[in-house]
Amino acid sequence: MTVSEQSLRQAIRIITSIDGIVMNPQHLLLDILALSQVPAFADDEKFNSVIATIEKALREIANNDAIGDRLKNDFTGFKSFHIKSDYPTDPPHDDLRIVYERETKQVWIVAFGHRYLPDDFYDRIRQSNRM
Amino acid sequence: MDTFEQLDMKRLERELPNSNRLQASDLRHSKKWKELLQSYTTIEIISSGETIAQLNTPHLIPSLVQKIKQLEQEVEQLKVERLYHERLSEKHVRSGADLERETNALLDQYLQNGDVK
Repeated sequence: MTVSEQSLRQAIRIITSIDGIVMNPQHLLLDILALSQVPAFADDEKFNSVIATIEKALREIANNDAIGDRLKNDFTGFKSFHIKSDYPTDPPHDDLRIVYERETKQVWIVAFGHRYLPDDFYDRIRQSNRM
Repeated sequence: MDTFEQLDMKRLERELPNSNRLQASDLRHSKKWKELLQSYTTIEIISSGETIAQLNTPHLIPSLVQKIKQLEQEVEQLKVERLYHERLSEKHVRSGADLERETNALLDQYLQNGDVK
């Protein structure tokens, strides 16, 4: 099973419609593609459900300063927000994560996606040198 | 992790009191090996240079599997943190319609190049 181009573009449309967040376009696309490669999410129905979960969390982050866990060391000033998809591969743990920094007028979304899978997606992208 | 120890029959005969001596032929049905497992995580019975039996504590394999899973997750965690660290220096951010347009343009490029192998 694979995620269709239509679902990928719909995911872009949904996430970019959220007010108050900013993101690097390349990072946004890579994170959407990575989610589509997670075996547990790799059909349109499941992928769309996961995007809806991410959307809900991003809207919450944009509007609620109190949520999220503060990160340390190199990520001081950034926060991490963990959520659970409808298809967790390692229940009962939250399997999705969003890393972000709250700025004065907006929230910079550094990354979102599955906490552990797919383990080599970004390496393959890097090696393919396509993006 | 407990220390692994190999025992051969000669060493067993030398170190154990006669009443606790094990016979290889009696291993399958005897309960005497249980007390050895309290001291050693793994007991290997060797006869004429060949391993004829190996006993592990019941928790050994599950604990190793658990440890491997934990280490795998730590490796993935480090990979993800490296990725996020790289992104901190790539702050070319957009929002709304600009973000949608640029992301779709990158998707066009990605699809044109073909799927990731």
